[in-house]
Amino acid sequence: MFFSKVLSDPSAQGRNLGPLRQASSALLSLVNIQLSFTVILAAFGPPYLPIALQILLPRQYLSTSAPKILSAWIWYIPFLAVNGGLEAFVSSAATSVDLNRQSRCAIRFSPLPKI
Amino acid sequence: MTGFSLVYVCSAFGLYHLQLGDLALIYANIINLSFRIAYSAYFIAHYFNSGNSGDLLKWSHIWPSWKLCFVTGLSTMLIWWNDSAFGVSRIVQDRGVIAFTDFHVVSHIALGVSLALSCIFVLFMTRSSVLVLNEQDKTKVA
Repeated sequence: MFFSKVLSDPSAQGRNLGPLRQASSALLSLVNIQLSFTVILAAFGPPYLPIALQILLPRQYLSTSAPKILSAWIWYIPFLAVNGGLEAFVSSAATSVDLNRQSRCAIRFSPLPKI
Repeated sequence: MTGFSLVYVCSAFGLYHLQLGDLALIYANIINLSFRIAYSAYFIAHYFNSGNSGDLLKWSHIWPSWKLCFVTGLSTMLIWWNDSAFGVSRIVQDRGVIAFTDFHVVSHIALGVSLALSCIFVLFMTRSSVLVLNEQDKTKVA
């Protein structure tokens, strides 16, 4: 919503530097914080997850693939976070033609992963 | 978007055939997200460059500070050493929940918590330097 508000400013449409500077600063700060927390998560997640799962998971799930999948999620979450921030900016900056094209392709091909 | 779906499907099939099982979908999603991140970064760079405001977007500002990386790396080594020296992982694996009454396990957790708090402290201290960098860039452009 922040990017939509800043980039929809009429002065941003005319590529006035003020809103663009604000948007770029916010975007770079957001990605910086996300990557910083990724570094911390990557350092502490793998060694402590097996310990935490002893409490969090019921015993019958400890011998299944659940611990491995949860370990993989430690690497998945940072990609989700960074992608979310960047696509929020793209969605705010893209023209209606770009968004319509993206939506049509998403609807047409969304059943594919489920096959 | 078409390409991203194809990347996901192909990655999922390929990784599944590598006997990764349920992990194949997660890693396929990671590969798919990597492509989407690259596309978004390209779109954003093009957006700023097309408006002659390319100097506003400095990708070097996204990387964590070397101080945070150093402290985090040091913490990782300390945790690994403590685990190896006292066999914490083996104790937890063998005893389950009862392992939390073991002194070595509790001290390992306390070590992790204190090191994590130190890393977060360093993160917030270095964040102020990133904000100063952004302010300097603003005054240069002005």
